[in-house]
Amino acid sequence: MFVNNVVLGEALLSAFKQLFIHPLRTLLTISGIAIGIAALIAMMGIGEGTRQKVIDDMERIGGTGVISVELRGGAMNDQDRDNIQKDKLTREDMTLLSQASSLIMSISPVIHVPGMVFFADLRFEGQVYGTNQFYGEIRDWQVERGRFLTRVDLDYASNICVIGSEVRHNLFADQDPIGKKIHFRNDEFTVVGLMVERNFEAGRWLNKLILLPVDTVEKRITGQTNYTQILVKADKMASVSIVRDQIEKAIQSRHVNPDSIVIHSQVEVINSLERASMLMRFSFGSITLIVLVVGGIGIMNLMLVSVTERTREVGIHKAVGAKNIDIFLLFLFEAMSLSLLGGILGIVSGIQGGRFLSFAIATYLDNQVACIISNKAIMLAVFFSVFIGVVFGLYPAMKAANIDPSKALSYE
Amino acid sequence: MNKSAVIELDNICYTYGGGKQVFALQNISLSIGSGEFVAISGPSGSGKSTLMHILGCMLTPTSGGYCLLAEEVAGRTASQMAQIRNSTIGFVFQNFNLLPRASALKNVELPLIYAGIAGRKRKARALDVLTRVGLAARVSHHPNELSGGEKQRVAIARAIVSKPKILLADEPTGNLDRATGKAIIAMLKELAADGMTIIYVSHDLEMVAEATRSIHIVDSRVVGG
Ligand SMILES: Nc1ncnc2c1ncn2[C@@H]1O[C@H](COP(=O)(O)OP(=O)(O)OP(=O)(O)O)[C@@H](O)[C@H]1O
Ligand SMILES: [Mg+2]
Repeated sequence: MFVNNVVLGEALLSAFKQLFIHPLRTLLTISGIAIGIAALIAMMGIGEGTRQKVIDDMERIGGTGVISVELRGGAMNDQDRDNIQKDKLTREDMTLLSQASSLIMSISPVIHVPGMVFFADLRFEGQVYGTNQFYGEIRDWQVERGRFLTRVDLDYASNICVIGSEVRHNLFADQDPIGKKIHFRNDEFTVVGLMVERNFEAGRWLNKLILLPVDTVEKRITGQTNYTQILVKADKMASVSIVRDQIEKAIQSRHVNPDSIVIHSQVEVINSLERASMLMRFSFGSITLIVLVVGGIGIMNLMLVSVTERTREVGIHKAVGAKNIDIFLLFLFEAMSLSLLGGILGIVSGIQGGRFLSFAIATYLDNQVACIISNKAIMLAVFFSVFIGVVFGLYPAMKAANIDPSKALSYE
Repeated sequence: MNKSAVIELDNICYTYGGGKQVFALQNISLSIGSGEFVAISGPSGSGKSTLMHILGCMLTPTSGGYCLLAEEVAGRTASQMAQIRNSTIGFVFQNFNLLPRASALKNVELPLIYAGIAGRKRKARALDVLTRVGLAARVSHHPNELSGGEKQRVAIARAIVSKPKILLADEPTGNLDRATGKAIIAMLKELAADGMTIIYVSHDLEMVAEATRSIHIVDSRVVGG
């Protein structure tokens, strides 16, 4: 069927004018759509803000470019468990990994040692790590006072350590920790460095660390080389997946059971974060959809009332030559302009609401989450509102189109 | 078949459906020639409006043949019927049937919108016919700001703006006082003089007397004319 452009233009104009004939009625009708769209926009904005914040935090702890090679914890059966217990991450693995790729910036072994550290009559349950001089660089973690571990410390297996801010607060209060000796496993370690405090959520655990030269741990504490993990930092973010593949190949060539080794990189963390935020969006989306459907029903209700009220008007249009399709479009455009207006109102209040939410989070939860409204979110909102108008305007428009002119004009 | 006939009805019947059937028209056969000025009269409920709606392509007869300008109307699609209402036939109602929220000008422009005529040209043509019916000074008035006679003149302007061959008027003077009604009939007569075929309904003998031919309907049948 063919609709001429003049009719189309007039129908659009009339749909627009119709909105302002009963302003209150229009406002009440579109409020459902507006609330739904506002919720959609605000949620998407805050969701995106949260996602970006987590990624930012990860960037800031230098985490995003780090690949971690570690022994798998639990195994499926005894056979596997035996293999894994026999399996170790050793100096050979370090050498192998450092030669596996030319895109590696630095590499650092880590041995986790459980236990309590003491100073005078104070004690602190921290995390003791044996590692090398590159750990700070890999974690993008700077020294506040003193110095970091050096090559010499490792070569001599010195009894020194570098501590995080929380260790300092617990053991030394506001005394200068440098030069103090802390006790760990019947041994004494001189504090040579204090690290900068990590303030943001994803990096706070670093503040609990006591870092020892890895050789010191091997010789004086564990008596053997068995790294908990080996951290590899790629030269840039973009190289991470390549380096990861190269490392994986190298590891598989040396280990009997390749399943005993797991390789983590932040790329996966980011991916799973993306999945989580997708899920979140999906559940927000379903709730929003329900609100939108309720809004759509409101529009349908108004349109049905409008069709009944304007039966004679439709009769007049038809008597002077309006075709069914012309009347259909007239009413469909009206439903669409209602829902679009609701959508626009929703977008505006959603942006405002998102900003307020971000402000509230900052004020009451002491957390900086921006409300990030993407063009995609706005386009989605516009699309949804128009779509709702079409879906719920369809039946009333069909009803209007089928009005019989003779009957319509006989009504008193 | 009459060669110069613009309207040719052959045994038209119309039955309103629903719960109780009403045989509103029974075996109506009529032939109306080009340029005729015809009055239809008859008692209330005799079927005059039903006949007018059929002639105006707003109702499809239950049975019988309707030839309009030598072409059969039966079997036309709804959109072809709309096309006929738009350009071949003008219709004037007893109760004016103007759009209440539109100015006189906008009301007269309405058929031209559906004819696909845009902008200035449409406005100029509407102004033209409004001037012709003597309402040049009232174009921006809304129906509730016009007298009955003025409303009916707007309705006539709207009916003739797309230059139809046929003008149908169902009791155009029914809601007007005698003097105003006479002026309306005079206006129709003038249009007939220009060659338009005009059929109007009236019970008023004085109005009917103005026509060059009168058709009388009683109990759904033509009894004279
Ligand atoms: N929509 C309808 N449904 C059922 N019956 C109808 C309908 N419209 C009209 N009728 C019946 O059809 C018959 C003819 O009606 P119509 O309106 O054509 O008469 P009329 O001659 O125009 O009368 P009036 O002079 O009062 O206008 C009447 O008996 C009326 O009750
Ligand atoms: Mg009647």
